[in-house]
Amino acid sequence: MTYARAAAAILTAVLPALAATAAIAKPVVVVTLAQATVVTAADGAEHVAALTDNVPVTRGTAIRYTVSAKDTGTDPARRLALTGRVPSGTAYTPGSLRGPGGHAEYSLDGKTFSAHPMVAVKTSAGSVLQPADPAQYVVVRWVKDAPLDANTSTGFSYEVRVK
Amino acid sequence: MMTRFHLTPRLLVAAFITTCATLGGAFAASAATAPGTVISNTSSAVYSDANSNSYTTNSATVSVTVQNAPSMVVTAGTGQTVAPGQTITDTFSIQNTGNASGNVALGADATIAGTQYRERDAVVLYGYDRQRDDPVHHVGESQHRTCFAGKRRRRQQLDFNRRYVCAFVERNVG
Repeated sequence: MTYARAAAAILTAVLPALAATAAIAKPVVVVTLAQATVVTAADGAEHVAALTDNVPVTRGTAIRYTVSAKDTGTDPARRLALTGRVPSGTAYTPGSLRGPGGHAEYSLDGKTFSAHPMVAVKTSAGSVLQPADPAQYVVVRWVKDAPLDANTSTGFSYEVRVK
Repeated sequence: MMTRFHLTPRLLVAAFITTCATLGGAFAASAATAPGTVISNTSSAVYSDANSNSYTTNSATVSVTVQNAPSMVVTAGTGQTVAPGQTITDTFSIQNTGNASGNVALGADATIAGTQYRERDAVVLYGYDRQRDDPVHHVGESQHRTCFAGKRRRRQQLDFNRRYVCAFVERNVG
């Protein structure tokens, strides 16, 4: 971190009004994660209930994670990518990712992401790439198409099911 | 499939003969998440400023605990009728998709129209028990049948990751 940025950081902390007028404007994104249970009734209606920490769930419970981000800084956040994990003991629900103004990517290892992850499958004709089973996703990522303006919010949601 | 009948001569006129059999092997599903497992998740944001400096920030962690609970999926037999003096078999497929063993009560919809149930015939058979806390047992009612696995007198609960078949053999005693 340069001295100029360190100084700006101190200004931001101590004198927000002054910082706003300073030449160095920067984005500051705050990300939050919420979890809820989703029960689909026989008539297809969805019932979503907030799930507080350590409320018991059981096998088959559908959990919806909502990742929200707000730029609390003074400049737009560019190339914003939000990620959420598919926790151990759960499997991603195919097609459950929802987010306006962005596109979804998935990862089988938590490092590399693709809109359509592939896996190598051995066949009699050799190794062939095939689309991965969504149950194998370990991290989902949502990439916002446009910059997130200062003092605005965005986000996406996805679902997993307890195995 | 293992099917057993436990009958005494007196019970040959019984309205019910109930068996409960296990289809061997686990059904094709992934292993259940163990009870007590904490499922936690943290999200993150990665973004850049106008000078292409990159930033990463994380959310607080949220978590839930997996509960010890059976989850019974019962596929009921079709509605049937039986003439007086005749016997009919009503079969239920039961699958415990939960992460703990348990038993399952088959409700009033398990009753086959036309069969009769007599209180004095209500003995515990293999795979069958009447609910003792049910205060009313009228002739013609055969509800609250509970399906257990295991041998007679060594009643066991239904394992998870297994599929069972409960066959209620009912006779219309006219």
